[in-house]
Amino acid sequence: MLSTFDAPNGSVSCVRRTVSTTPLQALVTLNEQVSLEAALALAHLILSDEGSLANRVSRAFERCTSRQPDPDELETLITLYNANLALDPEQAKLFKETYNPVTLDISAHPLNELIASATVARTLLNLDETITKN
Amino acid sequence: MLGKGNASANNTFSSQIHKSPHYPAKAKNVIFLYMGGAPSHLDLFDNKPELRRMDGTIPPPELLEGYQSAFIRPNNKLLGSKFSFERYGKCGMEMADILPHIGSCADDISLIRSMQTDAFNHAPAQILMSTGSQQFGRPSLGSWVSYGLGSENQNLPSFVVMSSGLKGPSAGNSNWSSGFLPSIHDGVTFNSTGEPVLYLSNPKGVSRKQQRDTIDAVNFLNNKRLNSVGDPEINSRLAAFEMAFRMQDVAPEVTDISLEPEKIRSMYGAVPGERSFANNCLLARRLVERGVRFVELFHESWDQHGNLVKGLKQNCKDVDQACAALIKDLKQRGLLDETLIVWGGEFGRTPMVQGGNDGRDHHPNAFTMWMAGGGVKGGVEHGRTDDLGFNAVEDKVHVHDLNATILHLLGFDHTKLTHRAQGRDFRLTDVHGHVVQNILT
Repeated sequence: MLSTFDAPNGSVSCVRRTVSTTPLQALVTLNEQVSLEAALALAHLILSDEGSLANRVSRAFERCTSRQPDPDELETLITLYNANLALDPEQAKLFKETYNPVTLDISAHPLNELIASATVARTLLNLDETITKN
Repeated sequence: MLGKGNASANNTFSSQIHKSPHYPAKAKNVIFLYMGGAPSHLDLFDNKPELRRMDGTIPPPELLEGYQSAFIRPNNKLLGSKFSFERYGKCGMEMADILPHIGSCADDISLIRSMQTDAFNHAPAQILMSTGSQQFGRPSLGSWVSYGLGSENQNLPSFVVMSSGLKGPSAGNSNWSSGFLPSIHDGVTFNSTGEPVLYLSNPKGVSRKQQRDTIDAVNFLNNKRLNSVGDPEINSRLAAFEMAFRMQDVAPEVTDISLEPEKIRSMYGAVPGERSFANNCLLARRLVERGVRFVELFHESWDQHGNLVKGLKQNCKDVDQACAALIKDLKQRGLLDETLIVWGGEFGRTPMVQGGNDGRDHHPNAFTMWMAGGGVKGGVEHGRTDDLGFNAVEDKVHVHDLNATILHLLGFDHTKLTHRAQGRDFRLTDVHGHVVQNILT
C-alpha cells in the first residue's frame, strides 16, 4: 500500500518525493481491507450522529473535507444512500460475516442502513478533496 | 504542441484517447528491457582481443586524461574478458557465447556498440536514460509516448512497468514518472510476485452495482470540484477511478500467464507464480497484444563490481532465453514489425579491473545496447569502440540520440514533441538528439 502511494526507499535520502495518481491507488482506497474498515467506522459515525439524515451526511462530509457540502453534493450523497438501502441478501450476508471490527460495535445498526452508510462513507473517503491537501 | 493541459472538464479522459503522431510510424508499441545496474559491454557484446592481450597491464595514460570513475583508481590494471565470443546469424554478429538465444536472433537485431552517456552513477544515469535529464522531475520516455500517442485500450493503462532481478532500479519511480505531464501518463507498476495487480476484486460483501454507484458518485463529486477549482490533477484522479473500475474486469485475465499454452510458457522459461524476468516478458507480450503502448521491464542485476563471471552467467541464464522468446513470439504473431524492443542498461563497465581479477566499475564512455522490430533493421552492427573498449570512436550514439531514434520510430519528430511547463517548452531530448539513420529500415 505504501509503495503504491510513492513511499520513497528508506535507505537513501529523498530530496523531493515523486507524486503520482494511478489506477492502482484507486484500487487500494476502494478495495483494500483497511480502507473498507475506515469506511465502516465513518458509517458508524453517520448512524450514531444526531439529527436528520441530511445533517448527519453533511457532518460526515465536513469531517472529510473541512467544508459544508453544497445542496447538489448533499443530494448526490443522499440519493446514493437511498439507492443502497435495499439489500442484496447474499452480499449482505457476506458483508455481515466479513466485517467485525474489534474496536467498533456496529451490531446495533440495521444492516441495510449500515451498508448504505458505508457506501456513502467509501465515496467520501475516495474524494480527491479528502485524499489530497490541495 | 500536443494538448494544452487538461484543465477543463470537457477534456476529461481525453489523454487516454488514441492520438496520431506527427507522421506515419513504424512502431506502435515499445517494450523496453531495462538492464539496470549496467551490463558489461566488454564481456557480452564488444569483443576486445587487444584488451585480453594487455590483461594485467596499466592502461595507456593518455586514455585516462580527465577520466573519472565511480569507485576504482583509474590506473587499475586492464582486465581481458574471460568469456568466448561467437558469430551469430547470417550477418555474423559477434556476441559472447553466454547469449546463445539472443545470438539466434542476430538477424533481427541492430546492435549499437557506440553508446555514450554523461553520468557514471546508477541513479543519475538511469534517470538520464529514462527522462533525458540527470535531475529528476522530468517526464519519462514511456510517459512522453503515452502523452503523444494516447491509449489503444481504454481498460488498461498505456504505460506499464514491471521489475525483476536482485532489487528494483536505483532511480526508483523517477524512471517512470510523468513529471510535469498530466499524471494520467505515469507508468503503472504491476507486481512480479503474487497478483500482478492488487485489490482487483471488490471488497467482500460489496456488489458490482454498489461499486459502480460509489465510483459514479466519487466521479460526479470530483468533477464538480474540478469545475469549481480547475486543478487538472483532479482530472487524473477521475481517469484513475474509471480505469480502476475497468481494470477490475479485464486485468485478472490479461495478467494470468497460466492461460498461455505450455509450449509458449516453456519457450520463455516462464513459470506461473514465480518472480522472474521470463514471466514479465510473457506478460509484456500479452499487454502489448491488448494495446498497451509502452511496457518497461526492469531487471536490476548487472552491477558486477565483483563476481563478474558468476554474476554474468547467472544474469544471462535469467534473461537470454526470455528476450529471444519475446522476439520470436512477437514475430510469429506478426507483431514484431509494429513493436520496438530496446535492450540495455544505463552505462557500460570499465576495461580496468575492480578488486582482484573479477569485477568492473561503472563506465559512461562506451557501452552496448540493441534494438529489434518496429522499424529497426536486422543484422546491423552500428558504431565502434577503440581497441580496449574504453571510448566510443565511430558513429557515437548518445542517450539523447537513442531517445530521438525511439521517438522517430513511433512517428514523432523529437524536436516537436513538447510540453509547456514552468514557462518554457520542454522535450525529452532537451536541445540534443540525432536520429540514428543507419539502423532504420
